[in-house]
Amino acid sequence: MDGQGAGLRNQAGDAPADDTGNVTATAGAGRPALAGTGATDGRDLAAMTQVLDVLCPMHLLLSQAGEVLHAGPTLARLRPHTRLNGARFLDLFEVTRPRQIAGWDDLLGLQGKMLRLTFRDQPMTDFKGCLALSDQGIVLNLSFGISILAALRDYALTSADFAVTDMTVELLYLVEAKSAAMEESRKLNLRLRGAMVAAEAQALTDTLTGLANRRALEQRLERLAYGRDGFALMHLDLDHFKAVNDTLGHAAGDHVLRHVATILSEETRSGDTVARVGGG
Amino acid sequence: MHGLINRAIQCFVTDMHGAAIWNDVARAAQLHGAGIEAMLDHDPLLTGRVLDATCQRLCRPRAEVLEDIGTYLVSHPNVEALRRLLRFGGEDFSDFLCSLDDLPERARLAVADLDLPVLEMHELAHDRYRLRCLTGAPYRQDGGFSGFGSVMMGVLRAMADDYGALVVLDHGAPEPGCEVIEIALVACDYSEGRRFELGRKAG
Repeated sequence: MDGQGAGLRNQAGDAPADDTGNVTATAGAGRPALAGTGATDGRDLAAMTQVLDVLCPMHLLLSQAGEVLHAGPTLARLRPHTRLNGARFLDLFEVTRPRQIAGWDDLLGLQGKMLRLTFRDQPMTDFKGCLALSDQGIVLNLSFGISILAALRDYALTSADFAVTDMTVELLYLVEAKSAAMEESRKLNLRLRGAMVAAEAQALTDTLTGLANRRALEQRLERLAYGRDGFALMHLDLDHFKAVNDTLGHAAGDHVLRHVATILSEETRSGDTVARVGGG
Repeated sequence: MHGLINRAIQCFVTDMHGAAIWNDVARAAQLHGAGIEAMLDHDPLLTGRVLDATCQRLCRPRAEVLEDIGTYLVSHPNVEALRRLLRFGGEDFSDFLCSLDDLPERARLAVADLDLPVLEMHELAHDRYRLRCLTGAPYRQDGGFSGFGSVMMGVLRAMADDYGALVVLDHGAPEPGCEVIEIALVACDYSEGRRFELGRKAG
């Protein structure tokens, strides 16, 4: 099998580009699927793998017996130290879905169905796959699917590793672009939260009643205490307020506080300070 | 103007010239608060005010400052994310040049309300390109992006470096509402350039 693998590569290089299409057309007619038995015209295979290498750089061409005849360039790059050509497919990969695959023969009936595969050795990359039968062999096209981010961690992939029409590169662009935008939004949220905390810390108003709060009162008292003018300080406590809260609920209690605040504001002069210092 | 564009100016001044200079600029441009929020929209006149203040503080002409901003955006480590996003445009520099047609669309994919001017890349020969930046009326109904061509000049210069390409860039004859950059691609693989892999951590 090793010999055949090497031979295929040579023939791929030798085949003149302008007559390969012609050869494929004549050889394709009525020939049974015999790839891997040595009976297939090597030029057919070479022409086919040339096309597949361009359009499906992550394909495997397999013999009827389940041996690798050819691996697409990207797939080969994932296992630079493994000889893929000639290896048995099921020695390289484990089929994880469908689950009831017992052996190679079970796979042959799954043309066009979605397969899930995993490399048996490290790194154990997951793949999505789909196989199709042809005269030259069984074509199994692979993609990273959703495991692309793990694959990027394990292999140094570039856009040249993907087919021109593959959306993976655009997908990765989107992932990075959205992460960058999300990061900016996250920073904005942090800054806004910081600003809100700072604003709250500096606030001088009691949010429930609109009166001055304890901090405002302390500032006012400090100014008055250091001033020369006399001043009066009156401390009010609302009798039975706790009973309102306990029997009628906190909404009623809040209403009482707001009403008292309105009365106090109306009954004092514009230069006076009315503050709510208790927690309610 | 989108906050990101204003934010780019702030980051450029801060990273290249220091926070003290930015504070001077912010004061001169009558910015309130700590700075510019990148993801929020701002008064369209703000960008012009900030740019004027920057040029005045640095004592340099606007076109030069704008070109430096373009270079900064793709070469400074603090904005590495942007360089990477641009490198998704293509395998080599000529691929990248052709990807600029999609730049406003790519920007919109990332930030839906970021509306960059339309860019048209004309391939005059295999080594000569012309970039038309449709920055003002009649192409745009809003205040326009006067000077965006200068920013692109800086971006192209830095990206050529990033790809390892040797290019000669020139301002072409401007047309109404359109800034023109003439690009001569001397060598696509002049130097090694910087590596770019699709995964951020790989390699």
